[in-house]
Order: sequence, then structure tokens, then C-alpha cells
Amino acid sequence: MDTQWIINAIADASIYLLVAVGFGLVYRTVHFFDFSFAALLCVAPYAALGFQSIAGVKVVPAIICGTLATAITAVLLEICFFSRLRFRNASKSTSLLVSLGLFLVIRNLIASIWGDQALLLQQTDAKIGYAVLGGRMTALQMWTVFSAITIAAGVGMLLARSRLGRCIKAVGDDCGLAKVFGISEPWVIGSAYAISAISVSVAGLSLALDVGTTPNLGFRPFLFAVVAVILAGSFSVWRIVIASVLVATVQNFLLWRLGAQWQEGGIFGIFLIILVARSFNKKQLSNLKNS
Amino acid sequence: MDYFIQCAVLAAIYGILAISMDLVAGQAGLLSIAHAGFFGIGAYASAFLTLHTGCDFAVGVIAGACIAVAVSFILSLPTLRLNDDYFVIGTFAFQMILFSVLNNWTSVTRGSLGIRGIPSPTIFGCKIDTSTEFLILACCCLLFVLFVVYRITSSPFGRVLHAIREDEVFAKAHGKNTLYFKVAIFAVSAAFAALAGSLFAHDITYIDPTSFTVMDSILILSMVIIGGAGSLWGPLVGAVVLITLPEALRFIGLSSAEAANVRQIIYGSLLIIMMMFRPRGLVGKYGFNK
Repeated sequence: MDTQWIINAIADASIYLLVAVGFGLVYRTVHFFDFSFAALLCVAPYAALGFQSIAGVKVVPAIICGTLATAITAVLLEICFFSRLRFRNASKSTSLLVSLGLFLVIRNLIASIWGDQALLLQQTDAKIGYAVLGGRMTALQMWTVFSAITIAAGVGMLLARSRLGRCIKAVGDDCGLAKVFGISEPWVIGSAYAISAISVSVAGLSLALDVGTTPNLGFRPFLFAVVAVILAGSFSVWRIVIASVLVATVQNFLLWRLGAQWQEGGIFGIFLIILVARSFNKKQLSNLKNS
Repeated sequence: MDYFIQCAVLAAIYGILAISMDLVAGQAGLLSIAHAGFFGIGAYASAFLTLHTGCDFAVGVIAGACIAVAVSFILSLPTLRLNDDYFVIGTFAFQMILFSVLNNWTSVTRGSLGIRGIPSPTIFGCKIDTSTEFLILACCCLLFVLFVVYRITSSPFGRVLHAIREDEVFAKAHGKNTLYFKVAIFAVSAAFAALAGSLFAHDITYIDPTSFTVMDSILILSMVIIGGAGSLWGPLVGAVVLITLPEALRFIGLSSAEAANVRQIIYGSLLIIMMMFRPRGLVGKYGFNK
């Protein structure tokens, strides 16, 4: 029992890391809290379910199709809504409110089509546990941890080493100046959305394979990922990894010591204290936008 | 007839709630997602007091408002130091904490079981029994709130709020203590939200934490945006539209679960349409374009 909560924390941290990397990359680029990511988390599992039930495809192709569907949805949302708002010089509050509206619409469209009950993506042996550090870890949890590390490292490498990464940083730092240097803003932001959506869809699929998929699947991991991104302070993959592990550790510690009911209250209480403490150092708070 | 009166009562209650949100969002330009929490505080305080002490409705309302004001100080003093989206996330976090408390403090709130059997309000010995009487009470409260908000917004205090909304640095440069003004308006707004909560509890006679979630905060915000922020009538128009429009779903024959989803889709779609094409809402003055 003593080590099991740590193993669970590592598995949860992987989910938060995947969502935080996706959400943080978009926040790094467009500088607003895009709440539609909470709904995008559900798109991949439900799209995979759709491909399974309608086209009769097997699990792995369905998962790939689901991931692609999430990327396409994210890019479409960017083209249809957020790019238009940017074109009109709309405020961050306006984009945030539109993303809240999109979250409501997507979440409830999914609920209208599939219902509110939990649906299982697949009956596999992915939940078989292996002995790890005195506790047990399922194959699915191991796969999630591996995916999270791979994707986080990939995004880190992309930002540090590739031309696209440098373009994303340039657009995020000064969009006007990036345009002057011939960087295509729609292409760069669209790419950031697509990469983020892939990261988020892996998290959604892992959750769906583990506990089943419901329309509310994405809300809690999204909120915890937002907490992790803000705690990280800047979009550095290492910082986000540490913040995700911290959030998951606190969450599982609270679960172990106080029970499930105080998890959210506890995490958001600690988060609020840290956020306010940081507000006394406004330079540190604005690091996220400027780094 | 009772059905239409009940719709009117709900429109009045949500009208008060939307006006209270507009004080923060429309007049001071602060996007708060904690309003459902204040709504819940008012509802629980009033329900708890009237059920356990048998006190007057007015006492419940005042107690609820006082608790909401105290909680608003705890929230606003630190979070109002945050800017823009960090303030939104701060209030979001606070809303989650309040929901967690309402859901888990079972000795007071009875948790997810909720509080049932909340009695009809009694004001100075007069019992409000019928739905028509309750509608009159709700409308009186709405008129009181409208009057107070009109007085606030047309006063020098209100003009400072508008200055903060448009350019806080400029307001500070003119020697205004902007934190004081923001904390004060947040407290007034929380008190009005608690009043709406008290009315809601006594009208529905049953409350549980699911009536005071983040989604409800988004609904209140949608009312302000759709009706129009920064105006006296805008939030009221938004409340009437968002309460009455989904009621039409009852006549289509959708199940309650389907109707709930379609209602949320309508709220979300209207929010998107308004922000994309008419940020000032139907009759508003402020378009969140700072």
C-alpha cells in the first residue's frame, strides 16, 4: 500500500503530462486558456468507438483514426473560430469565452450522440498488473508512462531543434515580428494545435482504455493539467514534467490519507495559494508568456 | 398557469444572479467563474437556518449574504491581484473548492444527498405559500437589486469601476485605489448572488451541490454575455432568454437527459455566436474587448 500510491501517482502524472504538454504548447503560442481542450480529450475515444462500431475496424486502427480525428477537430476549431478572433484583434477574454462555449457544445454533442454512460473502448488484457517497486502497475499504465515521456521529449526536441519549433516560439513571442520575417502564422498555429491534439488524444485514449469513456472524461485531467502548466511557470518540458508529477503526487497522497472526496478541493486549494503567492512576484507569473 | 409562474420566478432569480455577475464582469471587467459558489452559499445558509432554527426568511437572506461577503473577501483580496486569465483560473479554482466543500461537509450540507423539505419563506410572520406570492417576492427582490445597481453604476463609485474596466493603470494614475473598488464590488456582487441563492432554495425546496457547479457559473456568465454586459437591462434580458428558450424543449418530447444536453448546446452555441458576431450582447455596452 505504501508504494502503490506512488505508482498510481506516476501513472496519473503521465496523463497530466500529456494534457499539459498539449495545452501548454497552445498556450505558449496563442496566449489564452483554451478550455476546448477539456472536450478534445474525449474526441479521440469517441471517434475510435465510432470507427469500431460503424466501420468495424480493429482497436489499433480505430485508435489511430481517433487521434487523427482529434487533430483535425483541433485544427478546424482554430481555423473556424480562434484565427478569426485573432484577425479581429479580439481580446484574450473573448477567445477564452469562445473556448468555454466550444467546450459546452462539443461535450454535450458527444453526450447527445453516445449518452452519458461509461462506454468501454476495448476488452483487453491491458489491465493485467505487473509487480513494480512493491506495488502493481498495469501494462496500460506502463504504456501511458512510456507515451508521455516520448511525447514530452519529442515536443521538447521539436521546440529546441526544429524549424517548426523555432517558428512556434517566434509566433508565441511576437506574432507581428514573426510575420515580418516571413513566418506563416496560420500554418504555425495550426501545427501547434495539431501536435497538441495528438498529445491530448493519447491521454484521452489511455483514460478511456483504463476506466471507460464518458463525456466528462476530460474535465478533471484538463483542470489538473492547467494547474501543472501554471505551476511550471514557463513552457519548459522539464518544468511541466516536474509540475505534473507534483500535482499527481499531491492528488494521490490526499487520496491515500483523506479519501477521494477531498482530492479536488485539496489540489485547487494548494494551487490557489501558490498562484496568489506568485502574484506577489508578477515577473515570475508573466514568465509563462515570455519564456 | 403555475408552470408559467414558475418560469417567471426562475427568470427573476436568475435575473438577480446575472445582474450580480454583471457588476463584476460587465461593470468592473473581471471575468469571475466563482459566482455559482456564492449562489450556493446563499442557498445553503438560508436553507440551513430556516430548517434548523425556524428563523425568518429575511434572517436567512442576511446570514447568507454576510457569509457570501466574508467568503468574497477571502477570495477577492488575494485573487484580485491576478490579471486577466489568471484571475479567471483563480476564481475557477475557488469555485472547485467551494463545490468540494458543499459536497463533502456532510454534517452541514448533507453532501450529495442535499437538503430537502426547505419551507416556504416567512417574512415578518407572513407565510409566502402560493407561487404567485413567491413571484411577487422574487420580483420585489429583483427591483431592489436593479435599484441598487442603478445607484451604484450612476455614482462616482460606478464611474471608477468603468475606468478600471477600460484601463486600470489609468485609474491608478488618477490616484484611485483600484483594489479597494474591485474588492468592494465583488462583495456587493456576492451578496446579491447569495440573495438569489436564498430565493432559489425556498422556491425549489430542495438543493444539492450539483446546482452550484462550474457549469452553472458558465451559465450565469453566458446570461451576461448574451443579454449584454455593462448595462442595467442586458443581464436581465440574457436571463430571460436563457431560462425561457430551453423551456421550449419540453414541448418537443425530449427525455430529461437529452433536454439537458440540448440545453447546454444552446447555451454554448449562443455564447460562441455572441462572442464571434456581437460581443456586446443583445442590449449591452461592454464587449470584453480590453
